[in-house]
Amino acid sequence: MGGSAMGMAMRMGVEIVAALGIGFFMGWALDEWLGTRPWFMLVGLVFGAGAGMLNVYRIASGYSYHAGYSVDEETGGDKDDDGEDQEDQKDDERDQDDGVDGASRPRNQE
Amino acid sequence: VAAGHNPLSQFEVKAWIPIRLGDLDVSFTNSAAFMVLAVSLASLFLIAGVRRNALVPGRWQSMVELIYMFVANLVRDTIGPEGRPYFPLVLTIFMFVLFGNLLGMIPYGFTFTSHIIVTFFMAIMIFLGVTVLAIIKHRMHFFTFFMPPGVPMIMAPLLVPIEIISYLTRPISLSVRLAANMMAGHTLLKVFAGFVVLLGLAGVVPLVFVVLLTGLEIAIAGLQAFVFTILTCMYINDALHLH
Repeated sequence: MGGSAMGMAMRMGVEIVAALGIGFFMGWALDEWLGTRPWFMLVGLVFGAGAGMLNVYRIASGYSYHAGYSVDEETGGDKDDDGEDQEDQKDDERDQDDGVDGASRPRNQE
Repeated sequence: VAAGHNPLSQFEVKAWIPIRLGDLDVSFTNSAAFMVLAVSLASLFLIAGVRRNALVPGRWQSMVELIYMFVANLVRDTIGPEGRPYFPLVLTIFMFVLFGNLLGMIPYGFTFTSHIIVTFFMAIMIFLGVTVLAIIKHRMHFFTFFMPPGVPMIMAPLLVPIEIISYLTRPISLSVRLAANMMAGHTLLKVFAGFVVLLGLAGVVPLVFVVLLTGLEIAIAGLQAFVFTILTCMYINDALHLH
């Protein structure tokens, strides 16, 4: 709480702990299921640590709230007014054919 | 600190109307009461505010319109025009969290947003909803979310679990942030309020601090509602336009 630097620090802390916890828990659950006691747990911890650091890196480098990898950073840069927006929702749903990074939104072409 | 004035006693959930369904305890608690209060006050505020629907808005209607425009701009800026169908959800979340936070500032009130189970339930519902939305919108394409473009296949076994864990931390960081902020602030308030009584005449110093802290807490109540809302928007945005 308090200033934004403090808030940032707290966010990063939560981010690391949460990722570690999830990694640990997933590994532990796999171990319980497969009966391979320590191994998946350890691997999960390592992956969790990696994910936590990745999240912190993303926060620190201004990727802000994006958890996934993001190609273009401007989320809705231009504020076009309400009028002409209903129709480009349709072609948004149909763009599965093109490549992975083709998922960038087509709404900026006006 | 006298007994019963524990700074943490404000977070106790007390059953006001005990109800039991078999083995299940579904009592109407103070937490539930404040949720009902938050929902009714938010609805009253919004509905009664626009009841007259004047062309030149009065004070109340201006407040409602201000909040409406604030959330509408938030949705448009973070999601874009496609975000419009999700505006009611976002506004509801914002009003619920905001009123929950602000009602907690009333003395002897109860802050349900300081309970991790409440915020976690909201977060997990948002998380599940957003995931389902992404899968409906993108079908199998959704799973490329965990495999960034341009990465060699050899890296996949290392990268995919990390991305999945990173994705799964979202509900946790979303809920912990809100609950921790509310709990920390309210505990701090109570601790300093305890000093006022203990220090006697010198208690004026913590009293001033409590006054300042109360103002800060009200600001944090609004800020955290905003953060929760903007994160919801970000997640919806990610679901609509993967990457």
